[in-house]
Amino acid sequence: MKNWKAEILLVEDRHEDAYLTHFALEKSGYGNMINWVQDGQEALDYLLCSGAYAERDIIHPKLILMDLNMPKMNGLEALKLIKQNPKLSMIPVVMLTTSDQDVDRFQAYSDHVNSYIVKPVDSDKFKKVISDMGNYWIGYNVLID
Amino acid sequence: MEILLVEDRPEDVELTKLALMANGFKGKFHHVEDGQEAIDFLFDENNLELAHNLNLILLDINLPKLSGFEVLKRIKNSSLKHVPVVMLSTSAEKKDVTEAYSNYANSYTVKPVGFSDFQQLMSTLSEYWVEHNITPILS
Repeated sequence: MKNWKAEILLVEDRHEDAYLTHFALEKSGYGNMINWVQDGQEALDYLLCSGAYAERDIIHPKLILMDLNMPKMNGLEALKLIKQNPKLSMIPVVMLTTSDQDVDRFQAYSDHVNSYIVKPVDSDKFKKVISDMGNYWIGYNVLID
Repeated sequence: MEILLVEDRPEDVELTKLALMANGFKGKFHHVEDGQEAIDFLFDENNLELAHNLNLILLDINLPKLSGFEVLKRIKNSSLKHVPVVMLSTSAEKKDVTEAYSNYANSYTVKPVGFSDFQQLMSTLSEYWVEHNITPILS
């Protein structure tokens, strides 16, 4: 049930974390679908085909994996702008973060995050979570064509 | 861990239960059969704490009395808006998918026809939403 045309937008400022997520997605067969951007502003530029992405064709990703703490524009600000924009609001946003703070979770859900995942520290658990996440959002979640 | 399934088809209810058990789900499974029952369950003052602490609502779209969309709207316009809602549908019709996401459904899935495909969906879905997704704690 995998849709191989799907794309995942990974929004993560820390190279090591981006690498680990990329690696885990690759292990699960989603490696060649990832676009990596490094902060919320770049994510918005990517999604809206503006700034450095002005030449990009508008093809929405099937999933946005969003870190919370990032420079320029953090994950919660980017989430809010995505969910307030009718052209983007239907793209699922999953917060993928190390923050387990109530205030962050509450804010994310208030701003209509689709799902909130706290990254396990253990690397095997991390791989399992990433794999299950890819299988669910790429394999089963339905979007508008 | 608590899940509410809003589903009128008995065979789908059974399959969902089986898939949850196969995944070692040890939480509480609640089930109501139509949209009105879902509203009564979720907004009953005696159930307030239970409703707020649900980890997931699995919401069928085609329900007797009150449709899944009506239930979704009520949930997402209430203090329960933080509870993840996954829509269960028999089709991926554009108007249904649009209506679901416009009303802040967390996810939209299409129920496969075959037994093993259905079980696979429920297994993947429940593992993701029960084991991995974190909901806010509203205490």
